[in-house]
Amino acid sequence: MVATVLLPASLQPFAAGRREHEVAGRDVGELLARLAERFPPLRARLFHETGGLRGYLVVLIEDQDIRALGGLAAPVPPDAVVTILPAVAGGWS
Amino acid sequence: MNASFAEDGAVLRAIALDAERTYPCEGCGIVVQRGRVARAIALANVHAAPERHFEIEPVGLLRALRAAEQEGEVLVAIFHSHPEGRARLSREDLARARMPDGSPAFPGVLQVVVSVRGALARELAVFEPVEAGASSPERIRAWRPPAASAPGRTDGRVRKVRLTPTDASER
Repeated sequence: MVATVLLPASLQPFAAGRREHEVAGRDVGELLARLAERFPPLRARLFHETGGLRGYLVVLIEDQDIRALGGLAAPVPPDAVVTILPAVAGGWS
Repeated sequence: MNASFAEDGAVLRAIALDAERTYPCEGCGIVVQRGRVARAIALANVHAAPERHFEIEPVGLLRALRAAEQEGEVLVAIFHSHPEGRARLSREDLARARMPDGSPAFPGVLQVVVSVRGALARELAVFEPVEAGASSPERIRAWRPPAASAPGRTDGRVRKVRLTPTDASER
């Protein structure tokens, strides 16, 4: 399925300076892996060495957090908009 | 960097009020701006330990950013509160505001921290955007809500005055 991936400003410099990317993939993991194939500097910024999504990022399919949809295994519907955001977090520690 | 909202008392008051509303948990949200008109948007804190941490609920954040974009507004600041803490960026705040390579998670976006003590916002500080590297952002604005240091406020709101908890944990 072809989806539109929207990158946050912090990742756009590693993806030709663009926010929107059309990418094909059956699930979110495949989608992001193909995006990283196209822009290799993205790989380490999206994935851990073990292949998991980095914890400081949140990925949403339309208005749903993929953590509630199976994580990287979440299926990508046709023409979906997949948004990547940095998690906004902090605290006293 | 657009810091004009930092001179807008209505926006700063809205942020302070959210910090009081969410006490004793950390409040959080964003400031969006179009031209010189800014507004604060309070968002849900979904961290499992919200008294000492915050994590903005991502779906709410996405919807707020999308709606702002449709109105021609841009994200200019991220705010959160420190219940019984100081109006400064903590080590964790700074770490989470950066990507693993040290670059900012939200380039050009200011950080706002509110100190809340005894359910009253005492001080609000606006910091420069987090930049690449290890240095802490400079504070560019400090603001105290009206009569924050008095036992009862004089800004017209009727409220109970809570006793300040024992403050052995100056953070």
